[in-house]
Amino acid sequence: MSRIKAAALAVVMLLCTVFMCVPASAESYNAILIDDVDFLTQSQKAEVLTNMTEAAEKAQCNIALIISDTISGLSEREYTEKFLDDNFGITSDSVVFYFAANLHFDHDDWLSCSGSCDKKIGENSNVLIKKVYDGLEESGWKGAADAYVSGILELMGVQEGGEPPADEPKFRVILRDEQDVLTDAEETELLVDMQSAADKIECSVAVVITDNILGKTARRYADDFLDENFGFGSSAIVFLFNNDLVSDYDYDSWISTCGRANDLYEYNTDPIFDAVWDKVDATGSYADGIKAFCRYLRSHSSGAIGNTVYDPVTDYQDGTEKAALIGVLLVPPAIVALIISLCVTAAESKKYRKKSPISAAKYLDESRTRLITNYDIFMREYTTHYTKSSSSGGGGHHSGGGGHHSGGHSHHGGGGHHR
Amino acid sequence: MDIKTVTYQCPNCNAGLEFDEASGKLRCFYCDSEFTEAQIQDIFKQNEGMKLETDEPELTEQQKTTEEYSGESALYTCPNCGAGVICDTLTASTHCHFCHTPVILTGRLSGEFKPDMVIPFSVTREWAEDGFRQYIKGKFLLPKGFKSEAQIKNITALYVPYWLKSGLTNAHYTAEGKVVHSWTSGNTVYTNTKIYRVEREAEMAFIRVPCDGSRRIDDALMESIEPFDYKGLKPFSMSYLSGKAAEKYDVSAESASVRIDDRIRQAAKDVLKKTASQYSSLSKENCDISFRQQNCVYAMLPVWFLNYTYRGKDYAFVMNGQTGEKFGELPVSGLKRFLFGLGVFALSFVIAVLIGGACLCLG
Repeated sequence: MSRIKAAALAVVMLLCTVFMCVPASAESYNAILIDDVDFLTQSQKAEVLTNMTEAAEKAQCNIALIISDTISGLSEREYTEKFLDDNFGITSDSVVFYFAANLHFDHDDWLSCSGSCDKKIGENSNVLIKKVYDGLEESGWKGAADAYVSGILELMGVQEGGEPPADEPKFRVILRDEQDVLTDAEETELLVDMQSAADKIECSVAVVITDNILGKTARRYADDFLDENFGFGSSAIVFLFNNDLVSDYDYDSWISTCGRANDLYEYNTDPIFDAVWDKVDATGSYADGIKAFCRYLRSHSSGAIGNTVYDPVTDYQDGTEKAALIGVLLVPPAIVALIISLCVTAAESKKYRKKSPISAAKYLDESRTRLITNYDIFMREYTTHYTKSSSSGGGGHHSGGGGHHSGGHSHHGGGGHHR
Repeated sequence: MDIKTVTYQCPNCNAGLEFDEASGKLRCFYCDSEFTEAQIQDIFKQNEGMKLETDEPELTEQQKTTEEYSGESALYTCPNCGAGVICDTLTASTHCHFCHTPVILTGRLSGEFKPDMVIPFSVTREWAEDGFRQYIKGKFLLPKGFKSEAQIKNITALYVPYWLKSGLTNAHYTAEGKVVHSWTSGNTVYTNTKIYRVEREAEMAFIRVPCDGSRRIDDALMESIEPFDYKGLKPFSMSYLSGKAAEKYDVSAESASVRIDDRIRQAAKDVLKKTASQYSSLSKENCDISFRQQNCVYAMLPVWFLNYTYRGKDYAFVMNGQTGEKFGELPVSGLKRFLFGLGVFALSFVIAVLIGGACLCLG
């Protein structure tokens, strides 16, 4: 009996040991670094992998970084999500970043998250990606990898910085006035307006006024601005006022959209241009045009797809302008109608009054009428004259019309305005 | 003291005779008998004699203050039913309010108040009513009650006292006349003005220029339905008044002459001005009129009357009882005028907004 008891106790202890070890091993987080294109040296790879491993432990999530130019015929998203599921598990806390090595327009980066990383990193993917590209720009691919790691730690709240402050706006706004056409007060006011629009449409918003687009096309400049400041794949809209027109074919303005902003406004660029340029042309103020831009964004935040027609009454007009337009439409007709009504009523009422009595000449006996005196004596005459003045014709004026057309889109949506 | 009255009664059935405009005879509307004026003269010679021989005595002050003669009213006895009926002091012919017998107050038509001439009615009641309906046709601002049949039935045949003045007039007219002629030579416009002294003198004869002899009837209203055709004038006989209302005059011949003379002056001036029609304009006008060989005739002229009171103001429709010429100042319903104006405003507004909107879109 005692032997049986001892054996049973041994088995139980063994089982307990196993179960105690499993959580320990289940709690370990992995780091995977793939560099098919050898952008990193061997030592850099080792260092990055070490950093990633440490970060995985600290952040308590699996971390993977894939620098590659082949994804086996899958889309970036499919590839990344499959990699996550296959290597870390569907329910794991993991983050995988596919860093496209060749950056084709139709071959993009992709960030996939799961578990606890979904909320902390996935919802701030633009921040992380921007950090990566900043690192890439500063220090090359090694810098990009280091930035990736540090970004994850920050977003997971491990390092100083942690999550974005609670009161920091979720959607960013950028107003870049390189030509200094806006006053400080206008800039302050416009930033508030833009933030309101950004919060309403749940996208980042930027307006750029520049006379130097660095030799790029307006489209390229706007697209790059969006990517660099908000990150690839982020929901953002950029309005570019381009005063660096080197040829007649340049666009004087461009709208670049991405993410949710793309869904909302990709096909609505024409009305946006109309709204903005009508205001700028009318008042000569970029500030007014930017306000009109923000108004349009707010009034079209519900995801309508398709080219909407510029409606001067309902779109882009604040209460004062709408009231003025209605006044223009209604007041003159009311005045005209009132005058007509008074004249017609007076004419009708006149029929009801006395007529002039007949002259007593009706009772004249003409047979007994005798003209006794009939003199016309010439007294004097005089002649006057004047010279007719010549009239000149008036001048006409013409204004150039602007045509505009929407452009195509790259991985961004948007359109251009051409005057 | 009662006013002397007479009534023309049918010799066949004793009902009251009334002058029938259509036939121009006195007619009994009960037995359909008709009598010419000559027959009436024979039958009722006695009445005519009574009228001529008996003047209405002048009332004493005491009589005037009695109840029967108080204010504007007077009492007469209906010769048919004996009822005492009150009427105003100007009424010369009326109906008894009790038996509806036509009564002529002969006392009011005697002496200086005896008319010299009369133009009998030739426009019938039906014609007068139709004329009124035509006159108000299409006038949609009239108050509702004005167009009612009950209102139209109130139209009354009335002999209005008139003064008809005839005479010779000498009119002397002077003025400065201008003849203006313009022409253009090159860039210069020339205007030549010739001034003449215009002098005209004419002798004119005006025949029977009318003026109504009743203060309470508007002169301008009566002038609106002139002229009467004086070929229809007949020597006065009371029989013409039977069945019709009539009034004696309360405007003397002298007072009426003043108005008539004003009309003649204006007419004479207009006639002489017409002889200077070749002038572009006449200024510094002066017209002297003198009258001579004037005489005034007192006549009863036929008029159909319809009175209507709307919001405290009296409106009268009148029709010439001989020629059918009609006129009236009509009341305007304030509510209907407002609604009419509102309707015109609404229609004009809609059209103007559509035009304005179309222009805005095309602009």
